[in-house]
Amino acid sequence: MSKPIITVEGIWKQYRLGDTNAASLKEEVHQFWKKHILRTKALPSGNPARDNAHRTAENAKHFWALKDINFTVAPGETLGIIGKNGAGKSTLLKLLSRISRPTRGTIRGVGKIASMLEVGTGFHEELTGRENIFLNGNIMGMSNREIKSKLDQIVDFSGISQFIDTPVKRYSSGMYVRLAFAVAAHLDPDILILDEVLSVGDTEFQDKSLRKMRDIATNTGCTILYVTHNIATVSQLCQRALLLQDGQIKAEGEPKSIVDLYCELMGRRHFHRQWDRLNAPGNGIIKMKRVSLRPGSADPGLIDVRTPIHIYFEFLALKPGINLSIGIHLFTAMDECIFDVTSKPMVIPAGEFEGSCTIPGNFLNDGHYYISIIFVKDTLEGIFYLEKCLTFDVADYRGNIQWQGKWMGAVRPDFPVVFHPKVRQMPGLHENR
Amino acid sequence: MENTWEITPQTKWPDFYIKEVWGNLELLLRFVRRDFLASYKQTALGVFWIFIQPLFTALIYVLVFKHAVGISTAGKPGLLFYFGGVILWTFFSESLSAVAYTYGSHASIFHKVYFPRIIVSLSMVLSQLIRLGIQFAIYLVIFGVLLANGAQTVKPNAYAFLFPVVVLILAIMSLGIGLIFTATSAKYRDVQNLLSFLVRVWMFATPIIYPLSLVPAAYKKIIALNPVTPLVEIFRYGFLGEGMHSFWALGYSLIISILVFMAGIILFNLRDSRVMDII
Repeated sequence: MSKPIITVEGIWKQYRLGDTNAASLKEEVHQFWKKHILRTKALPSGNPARDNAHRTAENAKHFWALKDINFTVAPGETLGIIGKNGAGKSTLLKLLSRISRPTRGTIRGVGKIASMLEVGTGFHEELTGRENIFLNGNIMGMSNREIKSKLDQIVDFSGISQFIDTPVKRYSSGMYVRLAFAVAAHLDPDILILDEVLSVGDTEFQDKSLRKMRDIATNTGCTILYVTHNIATVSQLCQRALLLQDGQIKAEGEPKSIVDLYCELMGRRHFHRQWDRLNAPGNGIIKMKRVSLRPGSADPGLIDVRTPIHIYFEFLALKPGINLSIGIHLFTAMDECIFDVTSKPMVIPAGEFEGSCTIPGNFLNDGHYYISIIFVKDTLEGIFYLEKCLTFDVADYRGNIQWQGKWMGAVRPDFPVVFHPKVRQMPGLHENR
Repeated sequence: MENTWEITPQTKWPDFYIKEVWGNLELLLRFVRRDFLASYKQTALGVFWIFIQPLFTALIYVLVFKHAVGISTAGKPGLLFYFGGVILWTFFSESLSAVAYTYGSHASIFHKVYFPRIIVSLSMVLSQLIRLGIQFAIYLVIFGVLLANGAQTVKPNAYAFLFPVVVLILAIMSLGIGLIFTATSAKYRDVQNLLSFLVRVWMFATPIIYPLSLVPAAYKKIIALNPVTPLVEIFRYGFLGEGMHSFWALGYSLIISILVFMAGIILFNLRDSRVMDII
C-alpha cells in the first residue's frame, strides 16, 4: 500500500455547551486566575463526593463531538463516511478542511483539498457572474492564471453565459447554484470532500452533481471523502467505508458490510421480530408471535430492486369462529402506501396460525420501506393493526444502464416495453394509391 | 512533498503569517477589488464618493467649528486644515473597525472554507489605504490651488515627505489594534459596542478639529500621549507649516504601533485556533 494522502491521528474534538454571557466570562476569568496566576491544579478538597460532583458539573458543560479518531486514506481511494445525524461526520469534515481545529491530535495530508458541495462560498450579490467566478475561485484556492485558463469551460458548464456580466443578485436561485457549481467542478483538487448531507438545490442539480462526482471518482486520480446518507451509493462508489457513532469509529472496512451495520444501527432494518406471550402486541382476539422477512437472494443481507422478499408471520387466535382476513400494507419512508394486499377470508378456530406473502423481485423501486399487517373481521372491520413491524431498504441496481439519476416512480416493475421497425401489414395499399 | 500540510490543536507560535500572506497575495488583492466593486456598484458618482464624503465633512467642520464655534485653525486655511485631519482619521478609524469585525463580516466564508483568515484583515487595511491615496490626491489639488493663489499662511517644508511614513505607522497601528479587538470581539460582542464608542472618544482626543498648540498645557501632555497625535501634527507641519514636529514623538508612535501590532498578531493567533467554534 502506498503512502497515505491523509493521516488522521488520535483526533478529539470538544465543544463547550451553553450560552456566552456574563456567567461564561466569570468562569473564564476564574479559570485563567486559577491556571495562570495561582498556578494550581484543581486540588482535591479531601472530600471525594464533592470533588466528583465538581468534575461531573465540569463535564456537563463540555461535549466531545469526536473521540479518538484514527484512520488513513490512500491516494486515489474513495472513502465513504456514514453515520447518523450527530455522529460527528460534519465535525470531522470541518477538521479535515481546516475550518476548525482539533482539541487533540494531528491530521497530516498532501495536496490541495476542496469541498465540492460547498458551492458559491463568498459570492457577492453585487458583483457580476464573471467577477464572482474569480472571487470564488481565489477563495477556493485557484490562482488567477488557473481561473483564466478555465474561464470558458466554467461559463460553458454553467450554461448561463448570457448573464455572466449581470450582478448575481438578479440571478434566479437555479442560475446561482449552476454558476457556483460550475466553479466547484473545475477546482481540480488532490483531495475532494463531498458532503451530500449538506447538498442543496433542486433534484436536477443534485442529479448533475452526483453525475459529476461519479465522473471524478471513476475517471480521475482524485482522492475522495464521501459523506452521505444515501447508503446505496456508498456501496457502489466507495472502496472503503467508515461508520461513525457517537463521535467514534464504530467500524471500518469493506463498504457493504459497513452499510449493513449502519442499517441495523439506524433501525432501518428490522427483518425479524419475536414476542413472548406477555409482551406480545395484540388484543383479546389476536396475539402476535413472530414476523420475519427473508430476502430471496443468494446474499442473505442484500435486497436490491431484483430481489424477491418473503414475509412470514405467526399469531395466536384467541377466539374461535371469527371470519378473518389478513392484509399486508407496504409503505415508503414518506408514508405513502404502495400496496394493500389481502388474503381470502376464512372462518377460523382458536389456535396458532402462520402465514406468508412474497413481494416479487423486479417490482419495488429503490428506497426505504416498511410493512404493516392488518387483521380484518368479516372483510369489514379492522380488529388489529400491527404497524411498522418490518423495515427494509431496497438498493439500486442498474445493470448496463448508463444513466445515474434517481429512478422515478413508486414501483419499478419489469414488464416489457417493446419497439421495432414498423411492420407493414398491407404493403400494396400505400403503393397503389 | 512541497504541499504537505498538518492540522494541529494550536497554531504555531509565534506565527507572523508572512508565508501565508505571500502565498495568498492574489486572494488578498481579490478581496480589495471586491470591496471597491461592491461599494460603488449602482451609484452614479461611483468612486467620487471616496473623496466627496470627507470633503463635505471638512466643509461642515469649517462652518461649524471655525466660523460658528470659533476654534482656531492656527491661521491656516480651514478647508486644508480639516480635510487633512479628516482623511487621516477616517483612514485610521475605518481600517481599525473593519479589521476588528473581520470574523463578524466574513463568518459565512470562514465556516465553509479555510485560508489564512488574516488575509481578510489585511485586505481591509489595504482598501482603506487606496481610499486614502485617492483622498490625498484631492488634498494635493486643493493644496496646489491655494498655493498658486498666493495663500501666504501655507508653508510646506521637507517634513511633507514623511507622509508615507506617517501613513505606514497609522496602518500598522490600526491593524494591530483591530486585531486585538478581532480576537476579543469574536467571543464577547460587548467588545464591538465598546469599540465604536472608543473610536469616537479617541477622535476628540486627537488634534483633528483643533491644533495641538491650542490645547491648554494641563491637557497637552495627555493629548500628546495619544500615539496618533504626533502623526497628525507632523503631517500638518509638513504641508501647512504648523504643528508639533519632533522625531522623538514620531519614534514614540512607531514603537507603540509595533507593540500593538505584535500584541494583535499574538492574540489573533491564539484566538484563531478556537474561533470557528464560537462565532
